[in-house]
Amino acid sequence: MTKNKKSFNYCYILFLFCFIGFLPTPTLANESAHQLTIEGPTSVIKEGYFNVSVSAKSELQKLDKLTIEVATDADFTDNQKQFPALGDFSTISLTGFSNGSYHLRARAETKSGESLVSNIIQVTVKHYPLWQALTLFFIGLIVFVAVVTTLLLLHRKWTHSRHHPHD
Amino acid sequence: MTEFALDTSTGILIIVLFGLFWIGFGYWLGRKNKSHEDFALAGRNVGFAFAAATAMATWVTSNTTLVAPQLTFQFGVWGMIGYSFAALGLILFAPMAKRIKQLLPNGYTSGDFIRLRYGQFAWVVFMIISVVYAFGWLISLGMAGGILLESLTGLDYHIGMTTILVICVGYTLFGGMRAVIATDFIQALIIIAGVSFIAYWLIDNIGLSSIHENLTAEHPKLLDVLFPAAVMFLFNNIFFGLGEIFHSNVWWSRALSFKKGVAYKAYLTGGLMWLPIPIVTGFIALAAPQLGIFPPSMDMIGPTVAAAVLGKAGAVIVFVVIFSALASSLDSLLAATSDLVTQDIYHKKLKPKASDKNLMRFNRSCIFALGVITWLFCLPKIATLGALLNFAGAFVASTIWPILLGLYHKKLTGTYAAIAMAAGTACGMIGYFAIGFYVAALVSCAVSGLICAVGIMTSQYNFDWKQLQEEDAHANG
Repeated sequence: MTKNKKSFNYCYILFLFCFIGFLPTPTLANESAHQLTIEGPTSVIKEGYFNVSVSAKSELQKLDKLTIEVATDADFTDNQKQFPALGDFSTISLTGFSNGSYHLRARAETKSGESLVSNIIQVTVKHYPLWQALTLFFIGLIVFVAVVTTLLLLHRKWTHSRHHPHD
Repeated sequence: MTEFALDTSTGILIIVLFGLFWIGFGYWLGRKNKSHEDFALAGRNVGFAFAAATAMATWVTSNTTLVAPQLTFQFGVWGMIGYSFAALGLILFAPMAKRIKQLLPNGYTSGDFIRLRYGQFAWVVFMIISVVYAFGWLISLGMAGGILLESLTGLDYHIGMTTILVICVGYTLFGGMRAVIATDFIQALIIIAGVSFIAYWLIDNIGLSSIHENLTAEHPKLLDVLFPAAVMFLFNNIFFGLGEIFHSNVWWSRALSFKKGVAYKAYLTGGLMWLPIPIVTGFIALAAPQLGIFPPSMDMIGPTVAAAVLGKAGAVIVFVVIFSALASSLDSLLAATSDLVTQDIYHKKLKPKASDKNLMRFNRSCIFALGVITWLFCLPKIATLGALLNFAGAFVASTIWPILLGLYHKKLTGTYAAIAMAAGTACGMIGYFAIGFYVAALVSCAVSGLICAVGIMTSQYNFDWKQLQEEDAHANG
């Protein structure tokens, strides 16, 4: 019983050391793998368009052939699309997305030809419900018809009164 | 990686030549200004051709050349079709312009009318709305200049923004309304010819079917007629356009500067000439995905795509067209806003006995000060052009009903008009922040309309139209 207890304590301490010792390792590995960082919207997108921006780990590093990869799965195998950046800009406007969850990452090359890949971010697109949009549309239509009708009727009345001042 | 269409030195050379031409032209025209009325309203003697051209050119602005493509890139086909409905603002203002000219034959500004028709309280609310709107539009135009140069040449945003402000302030300062209308005429010709050329070249080189195929496969939402945010945006844009034109002194001062009998035809023609332009400029944005163009900011999409398709020579045309569009609006707004401040605040409130020379001097100082303030606001690029403009939508749409009813209906009182404008603006801003920029004007106009309806139904008041002309006669006497 005593031996068992000692063995338990030993395992417990060993586990603790392993936990403390290995905890930073994946983080460091992760940082060294991603020379690029991609940032995008954190809230749910309701209009189907958004901006993402990419930054290099070293601010002095000039990026070439910056491209954003978008896919519906984290392995970038489903519906993968690529969007190149304009000129030297590192922010890209993306548009026309339907409802769904999208994974994005950036790819670029350094001046020396080294290929860089960024972390992966997830963006969720969920458009406004159609009933909400159509409600606003019909409110707009009613107000617009009211403005035009009022203008035309009042203007007609005024024109008529100018030509027939004694009516 | 997509390269810039023009190198920086070419961009600077064009802008310097262009700027010298406009400022020189403004100086030459300004020599004919003998009185403040000449400077502010071009002697109230503008004929039909110049009147229609200035209406159309002023309405072709950063909205049309940069924001229409931006909204098409964001909302697809509804973006460009919805945007073209802003022509309704000019078309519906045509009968109102006739009425304005009849009610205020010697009037100067829209603020004049509000003060005489509704009294002080409504005038204060109206002036706040006008100033917020004028600055929103001025800032968006200054920003557009910076964005234009940045997207075509890669030149720093601040340089482009500063340059366009210096040029427009320069020639408006020298020439006043006469320069604004004359330059608008030339700018309108450049815009119509340039936009038609770009559209032809785009369709001929890329083709409608290939653009359609690409959008169907890669961005189907842009072709969706039931795109929810786009459906919401449609009427919002119409009310924004109506509010801008109905309330703004840019359009009132034109109506007052035109010859008798010209205003109605000029605004109608200007509106019909303007109608197809956002469809063409917006269509340009739909070609972007196929060309692999994804700019850092949505409002850069128009010039970037046009320049990519047309090459270096085309980029020069794009540059000249958009620069003309920006300048034609910026000069009008500078002139109209300084008239509003000079006439409504300086002349009516601070120095009623100011001489003609004093008024002209103050008007010029005002144009300069407006330019400097706009430049300061433009320094930090605070929002995209679309978002910035539509924020102003919450303000201006609240004036649609008070202006319309104020011009034709005797029963609406100043208190109800002021409450309608203030409450409409407040609710529009709530809509802007709670839902999005695409509902601000709609909410604002609907709330303001309801309050005006209550005001008329409960009113025992009958405004006497002669009060507007009596003040006129008094001012001239």
